[in-house]
Amino acid sequence: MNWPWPQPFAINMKPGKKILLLILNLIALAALGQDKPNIFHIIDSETSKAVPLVSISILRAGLSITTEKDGVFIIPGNMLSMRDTIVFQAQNYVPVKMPLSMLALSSNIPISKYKFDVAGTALKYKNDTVINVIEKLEVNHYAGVDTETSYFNYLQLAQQFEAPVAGCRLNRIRVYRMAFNDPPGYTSQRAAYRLRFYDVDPVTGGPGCDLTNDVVEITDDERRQDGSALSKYNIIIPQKKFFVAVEWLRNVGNEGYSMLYDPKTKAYKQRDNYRPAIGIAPKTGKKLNVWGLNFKHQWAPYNYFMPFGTDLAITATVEYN
Amino acid sequence: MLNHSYNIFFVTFWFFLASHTISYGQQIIDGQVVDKQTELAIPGATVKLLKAGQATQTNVQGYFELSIDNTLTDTLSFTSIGYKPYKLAVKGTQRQLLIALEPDVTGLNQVDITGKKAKDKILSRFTWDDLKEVAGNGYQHFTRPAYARVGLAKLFETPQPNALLVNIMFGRRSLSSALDAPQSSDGKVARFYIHVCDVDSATQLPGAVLLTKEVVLLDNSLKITLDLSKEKFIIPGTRFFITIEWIRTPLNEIISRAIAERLQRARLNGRTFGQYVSKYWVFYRPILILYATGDAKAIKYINQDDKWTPFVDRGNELALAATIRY
Repeated sequence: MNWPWPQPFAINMKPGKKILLLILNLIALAALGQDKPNIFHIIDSETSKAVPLVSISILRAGLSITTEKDGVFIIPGNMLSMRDTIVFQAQNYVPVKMPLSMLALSSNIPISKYKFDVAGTALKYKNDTVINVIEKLEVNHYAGVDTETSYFNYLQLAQQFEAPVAGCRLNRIRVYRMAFNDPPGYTSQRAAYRLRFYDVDPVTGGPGCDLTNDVVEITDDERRQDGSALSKYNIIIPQKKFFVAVEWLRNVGNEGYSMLYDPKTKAYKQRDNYRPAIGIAPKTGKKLNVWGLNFKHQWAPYNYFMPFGTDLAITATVEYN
Repeated sequence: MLNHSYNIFFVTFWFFLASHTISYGQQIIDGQVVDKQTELAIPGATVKLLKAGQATQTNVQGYFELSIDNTLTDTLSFTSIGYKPYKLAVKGTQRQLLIALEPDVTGLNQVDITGKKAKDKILSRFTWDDLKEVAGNGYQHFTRPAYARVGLAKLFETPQPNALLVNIMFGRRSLSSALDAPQSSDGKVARFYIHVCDVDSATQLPGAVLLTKEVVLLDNSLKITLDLSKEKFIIPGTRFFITIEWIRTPLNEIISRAIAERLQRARLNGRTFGQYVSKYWVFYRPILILYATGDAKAIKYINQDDKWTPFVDRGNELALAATIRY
């Protein structure tokens, strides 16, 4: 998708705010050298209210987390000395990219909603069909867990579907994920994640514009198959092809870790992982239908499981006339 | 080093839970059909559900798989030319059946064989009973998963030098099984290498690779026979190693999970609190079988960091055998 990539937020500020920033800058300079935690609030630029569940990526360090609902995140250390790039992205908001050191100027990071109209009128549909039918017993591979050969540095994975006709309405999504039974009282298999819906970017062929501005969130689900009824969102697919993506919420509630062997130190090390792990459909072929959104917020074909893993284990039911 | 290898090799698994979340709407019946006398696989045997009419044939490992719906009162029929037919009620059957068909000698003509015949011998032979896990009626037979980061090896000794290597047999299981039930993803497909190596005269460890075969498994066979008769491979001397080399590829991935407690730090007030989280380990197929022998000196060799190390396991043997002809 061709996002209108914004300038760093300080550049577009009014003179009064710039003076305030200068003062903050001086305060920050005074604090130089102190290794204290820096608390930041991501807020809506219009309402000044907290933006929940914002994805934050620090590019060169290869780190990514998702804030909680209060939009707060913490970075310890001297911000001015940090040489990296940070990206903020939340559904329905314009992504913001800036040097990490600029966070020393303000503890509030305003991000702006982008506006778009979702076409579509609620109609009654006569037919429906299931796309990407999965043989669930054959789902044995999962994306979302770090391995010794590859770290899972993705914010979203998207499955491409092809509807029978243009103008279908998305009725239901079923996601197959890795889950085991937990004893009562344990919650280590619960997963919260978002479903995203995109049309096709005409340039890249990957995920393009959002098809809805509604937030579709699966919360605290423990099941191996998550079915989501979607007709209430009235998601109309303009062309035949469309994408359904799983967006990871890299927060404490989804946190686990992988034990990875490091041949250099000959020891195991922990690396954080976030649920869910999404099943790979038992399909083979040359046509890859999975795209991944990396920490740099770039969509690219996700070919880790090729040639046998051409599709995610996600089924879509569409309605049409 | 021995303890370290031992710990990794025997993949300390978590006997925390006894069931998976997978709820099967369909039932899959699978297993292997073998000759009752020789225990060799019977390829091409017909496996049929009598009422449903659904049928399949066993593959080269004698393996079959049938996916059935609502046929719990049906009967499975096993037939093969030269063997007596066998029937089994579907109800109550488990995965990985072992069907041993009895040879039907009545229909065979007697053949007189004259002349000197080469002798076949199975080295380090194991039986189907060694591979099967059994529980109930006061009797339990466990197997254990065998896995290494790089390779496993076993030493063999032939009665005579220059014997022909006819085949290699090994037992293979899933990481999760009915009895020990670690929580892990499953899967049948495995790709790996089997090597035949000489014995390094200095170290007595696996030395030069003499023969390499890439193995691709596509089913859930418990016992695999790798036919090498076409290779015409002569074993130099009397001692040789068979080694298994794992390939760390996504195709072979198994994700295993344990529950672990982890200390988290609250974001705002910095207080620590405990949280139960999932702890993942990634293994690579195949998972081989260790079975109980009672032989305290069963020596295996493990390669975790491109270095072979011998170790003695307490009475467990690696289900890896070789047939030679001499």
